[in-house]
Amino acid sequence: MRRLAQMVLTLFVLITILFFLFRILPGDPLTMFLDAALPVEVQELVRAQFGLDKPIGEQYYLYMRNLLRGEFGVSFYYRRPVLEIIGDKLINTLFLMVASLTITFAVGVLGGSLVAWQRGSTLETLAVGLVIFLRSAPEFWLGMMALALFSYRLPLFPLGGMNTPGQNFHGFLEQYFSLDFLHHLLLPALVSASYYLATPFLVMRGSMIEVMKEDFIEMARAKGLRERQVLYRHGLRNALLPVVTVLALLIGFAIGGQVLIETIFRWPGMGREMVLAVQRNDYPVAQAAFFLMGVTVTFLNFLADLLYGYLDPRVTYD
Amino acid sequence: MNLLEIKNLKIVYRTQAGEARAVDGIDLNLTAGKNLGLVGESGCGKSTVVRSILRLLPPNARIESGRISFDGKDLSKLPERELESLRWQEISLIPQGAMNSLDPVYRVGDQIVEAILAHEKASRPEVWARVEKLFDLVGLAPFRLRDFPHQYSGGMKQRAFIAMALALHPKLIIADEPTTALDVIVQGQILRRIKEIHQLQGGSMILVTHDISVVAETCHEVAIMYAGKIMEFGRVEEIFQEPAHPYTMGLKNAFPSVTGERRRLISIPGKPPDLINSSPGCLFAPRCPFATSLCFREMPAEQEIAPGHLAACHHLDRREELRVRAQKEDTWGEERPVSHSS
Repeated sequence: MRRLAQMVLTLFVLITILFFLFRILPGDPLTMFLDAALPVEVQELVRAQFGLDKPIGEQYYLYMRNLLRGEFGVSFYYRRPVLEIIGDKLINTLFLMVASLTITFAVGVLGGSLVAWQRGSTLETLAVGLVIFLRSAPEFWLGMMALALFSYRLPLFPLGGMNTPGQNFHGFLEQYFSLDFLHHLLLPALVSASYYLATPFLVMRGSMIEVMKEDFIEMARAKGLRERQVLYRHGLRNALLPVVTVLALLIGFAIGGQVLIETIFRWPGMGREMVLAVQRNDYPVAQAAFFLMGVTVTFLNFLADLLYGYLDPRVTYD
Repeated sequence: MNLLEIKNLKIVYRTQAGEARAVDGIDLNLTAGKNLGLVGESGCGKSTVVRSILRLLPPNARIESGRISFDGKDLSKLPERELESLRWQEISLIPQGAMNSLDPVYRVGDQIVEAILAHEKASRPEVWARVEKLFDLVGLAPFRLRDFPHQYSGGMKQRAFIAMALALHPKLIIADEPTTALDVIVQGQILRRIKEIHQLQGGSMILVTHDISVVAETCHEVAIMYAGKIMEFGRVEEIFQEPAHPYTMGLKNAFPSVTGERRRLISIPGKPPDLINSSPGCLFAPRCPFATSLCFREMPAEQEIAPGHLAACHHLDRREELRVRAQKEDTWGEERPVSHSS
């Protein structure tokens, strides 16, 4: 419960910072649409339409009030409701993000523990080298190399986008739960997963090595458990805890990388929309996009915390 | 018939400074139903010996030679699967670091149930009920089984381990300093508890400790270890009343008397020797107040001075005299020179 209140407070601070941040950025949202030749009265009228003539304090109050009602306002650029513009894009982004984070952690946890068991082997040296290489290479470079290799040289994957063009979808399920979607999702998800892999992989490896030295591991062996049971039930289970902590941190980073991945793979997600909105001084869209990203990060963090509390009985949230 | 026979056991640890000879040719026999105390300072190799019985040595340890047979089986040659089923079923362990020997993420009850179910086919509720009885036996409230280890005190964890160690009625319990982390009052209670229950079941125990008073209370026989070797072995009363080895005499001085007489405690000066570059002579010689040049030159062989009473010292024939001198504080005065000069 306290954790939930913290989450709300975090979001409130976030949206406040966003609101003022965009307003102190140079540039006026209306200069793009308003012809300087228009009479000043007309210019003022348009300004008033968007509520930009009011003092900033009042704008803030109105914005917050609308937000609580679930209204994100109207885009200055598209002149359509913000939710209409970014609603679908948020879902697209979430699909890609969750897919790549799942791959990152599944491979990181299993791979990291595997090389910890095979401590000192060639496999360990190679795997550690590889994940560090993937982490050191810029994400956009990885993305372009992947496209060049697996979409252009070997046409295994589509060059970008989310679905093969020219299709009409009847409803949500048909669009997102199809082989075609999966086919488009795989490459960007793998690229961003391989970029983030190093963190859970190395944390898991280190954590596993430490845990395997613990007294309770020796005890599990003394109890006559099979080596596999010792490793999974006691080793991996305990080594997982620091990885969950890292998960929470990594989610935040992943959002930033999302912008690059979406641009390279022409993924119709929110990362791209966010960048455009900032460039256009489209306050409502930018604010909403950042806000929703913030909600996503905060919420995923909250889930990670809950997961940690579930995995470690020593931690309680009251 | 001997339950456990250890013959000429040698164990080395690979370290950065070279190979450390932690256990250097040890012979031990344990009769079924008897309790054996293994006494020595920290680092003398006593834990290494008992861990080698369960084949739980760390990866940098290597058994160089020797034979460990338990109940007629050669433990060092037993296949992994058979070893796994022998562990806990026949030999259980009360660990040294009881504080960290329970897995923090599982309930204590589940961890004991896990040990039982690894060896027996039984239903969980049935096993749980059995564990509840065991908890009662060691003086813990059965509802505590549902708690996690961090909700336990040190003494409770230790009791939980005793319950776990007794669960399968093993023939041998290895208690590796089971009471070091506990205060004296709880120590006594716990040891008496282990002794009562386990002996009732007809099992044997090896008690590893640096505290000789604990041994006096619990064991029938005692082996005094120093620097990877057994210095003296015999029945408890004999060893404590008529110690033959100067090291045993020194150890006895360093602890409050078991019989309650008032006297000053005398410590043995110096520290245990370097196990990597050991000298050819008696390893205790540098700290021994009675050492002669012979002691530095030659390793004394083990001799039987009375039936079942063995000691390794060049001056066993003078033991009566040495025993009297050893009780004087002056004898143990300053640290002895490392190299002998007379």
